Amino acid sequence: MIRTIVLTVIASFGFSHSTLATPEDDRAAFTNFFTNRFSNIEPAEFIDGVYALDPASKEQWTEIEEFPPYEIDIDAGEELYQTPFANGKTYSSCFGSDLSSIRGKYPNWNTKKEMVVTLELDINNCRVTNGEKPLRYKKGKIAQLSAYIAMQGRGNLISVSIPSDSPKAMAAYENGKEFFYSKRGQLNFSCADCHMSNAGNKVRADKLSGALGHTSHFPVYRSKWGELGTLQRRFGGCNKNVRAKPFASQGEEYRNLEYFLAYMNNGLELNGPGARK
Amino acid sequence: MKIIKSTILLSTVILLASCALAPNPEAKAMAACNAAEASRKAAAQVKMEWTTTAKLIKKANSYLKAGDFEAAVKICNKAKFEGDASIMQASIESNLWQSRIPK
Repeated sequence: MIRTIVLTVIASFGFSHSTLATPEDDRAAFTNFFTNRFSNIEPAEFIDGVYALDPASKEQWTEIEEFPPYEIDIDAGEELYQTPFANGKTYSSCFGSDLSSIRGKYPNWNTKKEMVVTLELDINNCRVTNGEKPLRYKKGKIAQLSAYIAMQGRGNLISVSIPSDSPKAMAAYENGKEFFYSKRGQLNFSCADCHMSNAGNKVRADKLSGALGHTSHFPVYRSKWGELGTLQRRFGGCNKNVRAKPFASQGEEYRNLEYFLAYMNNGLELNGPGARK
Repeated sequence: MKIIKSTILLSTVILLASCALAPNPEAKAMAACNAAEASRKAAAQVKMEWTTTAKLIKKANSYLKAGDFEAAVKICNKAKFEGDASIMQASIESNLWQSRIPK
């Protein structure tokens, strides 16, 4: 009985916060959480992920970034991007001629499709529109294309918007937020447990990164993978780590999660692609 | 003598009846594994399935095929516990997740 009362009180408190909080309130509180917890780190530095929290590793990483392991992938991505489809058109027919502005537009709310659209999803949409087969998500050619586009957009600011006149867009954002804060898997961990409450702490030999800045640097070349991978590939890996069955890449769950997380990172600089352990 | 004969007959009838009523080990294992699979599916429905549950059911199925029904029951009961726990996790989290949002 007491447990039920406690749960109800906690739930109603949380609900009242959620119904009152706008995405911008959420973002401000999210940023404050990190700036209070890591008061010696400037907000802009969080785009370096775990290396912002670990000066010793940052030194090694900075050296790695001088000759980055994803360089070959950027070249491959450029070639893929410039090579015409069978119908003679290229990706520019979908994304426009200003390469530097593409990365910053994603993820976004597509009013016609009434869903969150990510860069990788639109790469495949472009292919299908032009009569090509879609690429497999997570790695390979799609990650190379994404890396090339991300490289061109470096230095721009993350500016995800949620149309205020669209309850469905707001619902998608809230859905991503719920995913982020919900514990899941046999180990009963939420994204926030690792990347907020325990950011900077160690899991075995590795420090956990903070969620602030998480979406700025993808796709990443992970030494563990030995190759490039997308943000949603990483989501799946995180879910597996806590023994929760991962969802399909570019499925609704991960697209909405990306939408929420990218919104939390609004105002930070895009610095992808990145290299990680 | 007549009493002894009647007692033996009655005992035999009771024994045969109890054997007939006892669940077949294979049927018992199948029921346990079906319940586990139903629980796993319900957990997937609420998007909270654990990676370990399907693995347990797969392992139990290999025991079923090998005729080790006792082992299959044991593993399927564990899988059902996991499925049920995942569903409970979904229910608890639907109330608690908002309490973790920084204010």
